[in-house]
Amino acid sequence: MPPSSPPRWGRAGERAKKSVENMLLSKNWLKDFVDFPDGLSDQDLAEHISDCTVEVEHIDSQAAPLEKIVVGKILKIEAHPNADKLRVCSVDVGIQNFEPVQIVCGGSNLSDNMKVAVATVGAKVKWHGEGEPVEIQPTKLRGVESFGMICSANEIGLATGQEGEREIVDLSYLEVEPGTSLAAALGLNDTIIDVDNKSLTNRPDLFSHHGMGREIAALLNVKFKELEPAVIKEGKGYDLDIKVIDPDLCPRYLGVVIDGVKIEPSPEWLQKRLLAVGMRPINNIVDITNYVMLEVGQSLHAFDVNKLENASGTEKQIEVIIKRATDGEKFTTLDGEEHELDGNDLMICDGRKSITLAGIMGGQNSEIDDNTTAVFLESANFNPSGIRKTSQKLGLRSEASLRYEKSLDPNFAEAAICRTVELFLEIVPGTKVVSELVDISNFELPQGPIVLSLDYLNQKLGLEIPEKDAVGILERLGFEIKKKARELSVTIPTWRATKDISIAEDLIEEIARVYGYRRIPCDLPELNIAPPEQDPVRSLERQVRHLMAGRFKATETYNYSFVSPVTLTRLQEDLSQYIELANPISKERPYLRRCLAPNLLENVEKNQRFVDTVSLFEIGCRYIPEDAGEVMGEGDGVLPLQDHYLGIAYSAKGEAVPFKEVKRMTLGVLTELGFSAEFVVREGESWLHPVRSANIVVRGEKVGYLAEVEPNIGQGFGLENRVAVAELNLSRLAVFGKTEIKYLSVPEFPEVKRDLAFVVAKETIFAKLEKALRKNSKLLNEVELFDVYQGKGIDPDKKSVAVHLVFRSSEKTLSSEEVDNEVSDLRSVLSNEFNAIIR
Amino acid sequence: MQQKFSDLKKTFDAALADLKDGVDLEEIKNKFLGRKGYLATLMKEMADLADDERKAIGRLANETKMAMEEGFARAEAARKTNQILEGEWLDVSEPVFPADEHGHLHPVTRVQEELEDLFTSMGFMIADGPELESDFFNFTALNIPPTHPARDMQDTLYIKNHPDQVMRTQTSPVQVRAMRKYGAPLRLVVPGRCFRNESTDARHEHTFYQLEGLVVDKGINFAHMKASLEKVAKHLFGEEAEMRLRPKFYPFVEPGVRGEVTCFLCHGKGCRVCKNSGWLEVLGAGLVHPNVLREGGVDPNEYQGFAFGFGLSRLAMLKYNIDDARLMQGGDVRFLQQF
Repeated sequence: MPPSSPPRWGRAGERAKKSVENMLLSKNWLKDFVDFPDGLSDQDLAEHISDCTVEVEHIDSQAAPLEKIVVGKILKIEAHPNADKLRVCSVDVGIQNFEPVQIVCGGSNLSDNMKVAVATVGAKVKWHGEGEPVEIQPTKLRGVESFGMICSANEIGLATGQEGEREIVDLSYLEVEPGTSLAAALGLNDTIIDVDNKSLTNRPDLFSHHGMGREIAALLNVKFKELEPAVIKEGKGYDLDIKVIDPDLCPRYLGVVIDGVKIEPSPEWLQKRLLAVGMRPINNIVDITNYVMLEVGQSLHAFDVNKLENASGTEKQIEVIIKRATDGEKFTTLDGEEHELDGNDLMICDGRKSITLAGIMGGQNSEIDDNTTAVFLESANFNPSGIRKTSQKLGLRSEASLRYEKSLDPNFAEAAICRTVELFLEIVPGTKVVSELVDISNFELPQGPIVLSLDYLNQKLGLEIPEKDAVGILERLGFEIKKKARELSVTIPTWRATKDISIAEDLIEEIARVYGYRRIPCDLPELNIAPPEQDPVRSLERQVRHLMAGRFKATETYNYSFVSPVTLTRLQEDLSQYIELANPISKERPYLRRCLAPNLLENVEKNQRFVDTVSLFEIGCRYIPEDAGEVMGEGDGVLPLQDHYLGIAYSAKGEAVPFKEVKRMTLGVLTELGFSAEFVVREGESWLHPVRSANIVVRGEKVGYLAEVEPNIGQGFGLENRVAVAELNLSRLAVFGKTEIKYLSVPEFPEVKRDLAFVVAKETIFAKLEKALRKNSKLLNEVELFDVYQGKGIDPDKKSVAVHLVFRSSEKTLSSEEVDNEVSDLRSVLSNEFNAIIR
Repeated sequence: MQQKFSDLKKTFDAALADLKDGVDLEEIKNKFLGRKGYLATLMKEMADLADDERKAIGRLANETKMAMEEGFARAEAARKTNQILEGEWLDVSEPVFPADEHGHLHPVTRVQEELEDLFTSMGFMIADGPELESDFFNFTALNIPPTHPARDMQDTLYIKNHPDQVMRTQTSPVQVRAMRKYGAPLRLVVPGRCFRNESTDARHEHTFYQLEGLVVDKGINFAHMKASLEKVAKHLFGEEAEMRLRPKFYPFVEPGVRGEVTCFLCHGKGCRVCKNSGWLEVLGAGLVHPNVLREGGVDPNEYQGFAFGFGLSRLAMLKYNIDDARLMQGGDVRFLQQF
């Protein structure tokens, strides 16, 4: 092919971007192995595969998106009267339009008589190669009429190597008449099947056209044409000395030398197949190995023989050693990256140096180049966990490692090297095999047999599958079967024996999915009616949620379990106490929360500009490393404690003491749950307010706290108003259990109510006052605070307190004198013990 | 004479019927029924009549009098009612103020509680398990050995200095915990928070919610699973929703399926939400793998089971048409207060 040869074509749209996330299959290629039944539509084929094996994400004919896009010939180019960068072209788009069409185009490389891709009116293109396709309409561009579009490659999803946006696709090399459909002109007659290969981790045999062909033939119940490459005729010229030092990491290694190689582009049919499934052609050698990988599912590597060295320096002798890397060894892969290795990584070496990171990527030092004349061909099987570990550690994934880490059948290596040699001899003229075929093999596959009882099969599925159907399905998938009464003795084919199939349940799945899940009936199980056990924390959480949202009109929020060091530092938290993620999603939030407050405060800060009152709650867990949580299941270890908490944050414009509102909420929740709580003075620490902080104590145990944010820290955090926060340990409250209501007899005698107002020192604790009052009057039944006042008329260091006192006797109706006496006693208590001035 | 009484009644009725607001009722009363009123005057005329005629007219006079008095009483009552109602006009369309505030539950909570109620009614317990989980329960006990490529499916967040601890990638570890704790038979669901090491965008979140389900009993089979999942799907998406099961690989079940329902927005015709397929993938499920039953201390020869998992965050997004996954943990009250 002359060096000025035009670009080769393949449809490679958005979905054809080859990645390890999806696998593209060519239907034309699959036809090598499957006799597709007449009348089976592409859509039906996709449904079949999705129903029985794996989700087909898309199935697209290559031509469909190119409808109404034709080859056009530019007859005349004129300047646009109103735009410098636009041209007005007259384009011949075929005989159905006797008149050439006028198209306004901004392409930078237009020339007279150039053949171009023209999207005619009604065609769909991607604007600038992005987004949903848009239908072409007659339009006016800067006042000049335009009836179509002259396209660049990415606007119609073609992979060409000339992907500049203003670069128009040059089709002048095509020997077709203007008006020919673009798809026909480019020979795009394939259908591409896009399979979700993330869901195929259990099926290493399906990462190829041959394997997928077998599967599809089994599903469709049609003939499977097995690939049978010719046996390699060994030759002479090179001595091969291959040593596998670490057979645990390399169960099989085959090698052969091919001479007489001339690097050239591959033939068109081969390039077309590669392009169809999103792989860019490079040269005949690389293309053949890629082709075999996509066909057989086995990756191969070709080394330039001239770059291999041996220890002795003997001519025509190739030494290959498969061994673990030395610790600290440095190796540069094909992509130019240097990696540091250790003894867990497997290397392919020649007599003097490492040449490949086994099963992952080749090295620069033995790469094929334009001067290569002889190649050493490697086809090997590597230990899947070994490949996986190295690939993960180095962050290096390739088509090869993707397949190896799924546990490939070592027999693929043999089929692949035979197929590769076959293609070399067919495609690359003058090549010949110039060594023996070395095959070092250290593997054994657990092929069973597995005994499958037909009764067990039917019992597990809840339906009777006819024996011949069950047997037929397994046989089509490659299983060998011996029948014994109601039992099948099933031998696993090598390509399914690497780990996928090992027990009877695996076989049941094979039969069921191919038979069709839709054919299995629905049958509700009959189960006993014993009421389910209750998880008390779950019940409590639900009750609390509804209280908070229903009664306290708060808004439920869900925050991340992760906290940012910036937030924690602002709150003066000690970061060393926090559990840290080894691989956080972003550096922003690497810590696990020890309490719900920090993220809630972030919420308050974010929302304060939207609403006057921010009243939020969240139910979630804390992660406390120093306390023991659930068992780890293996060994004696325990997880960090992860109690569930209710967190509340409240702030309102103009509210100077939000503490009170949050106290109302916490107390309300606790009371509703049947607990009486004490709020005990707590020393402020880190971000907690030095005096507006309390521990919440239930049944003598601290179950939470309530506090305002220390004002300076709050300001530093960007909080515009005072904020109060509370947290309650729901896991502990659940352990306490419910307190049931106990009935007391209805009071027989009436109560007498008196009000008392007095002035005391500002820092007098009400709880102490109340305790003193109750202690000094047996008839005092209730003390209800109804006013606290500081301000005008009261000394700045004092406060005025007003209470309702309710007196009652269980023996008689109290006389007014009796009550007066009680009140008088209590006044003295207040004056004597609290220096109160009665008002 | 007869005619005169009848005319009087008519005049009186007309006067009442034509009552103007300002007209004094007492005045009408005096005019017609007063001592010197029209009726009294007319009755005086009766004295001139012959005896037998007077008797007949007398009855008529009495009847007329009673009817007029009744009529007057009615008019008086109506007038009184009108006076009360006069001050009671109200604009029923007027909004209440200050505006009624109410609290808000998170959208995931709403979907979660709906499912919890359904499963509780079916005899399932609501269980729980740790979010920071051991590698053993999250993977190994679920038939995912350390180097198994199934771990490809989920990029895991690990804990620093504790390689054997992870942020759980699924609610499934609770399967084994629950079997160990409660034994068989067992029916439970576990709603909960899960984590993946995945950068966030409108469709991906590293923190999300799942609802796991597990049924372990004697003789549980595929048909039982299919029927149970269909019940749940119909409860969630309506009686007309159809469900289909397709194979999907999960290491802890065998066979494994993914469950799809007909798209509730387009009813299977194809739309943006279902990516024109007409179907929505809403769950993963399967018959519990014997290895998992064994890890849970349950003998797979005696008990079998099925397990399933719903994406709660995804269900909530579908149900409320939420188009950005990041809103769920964003803490923005303008979002949260819509629920």
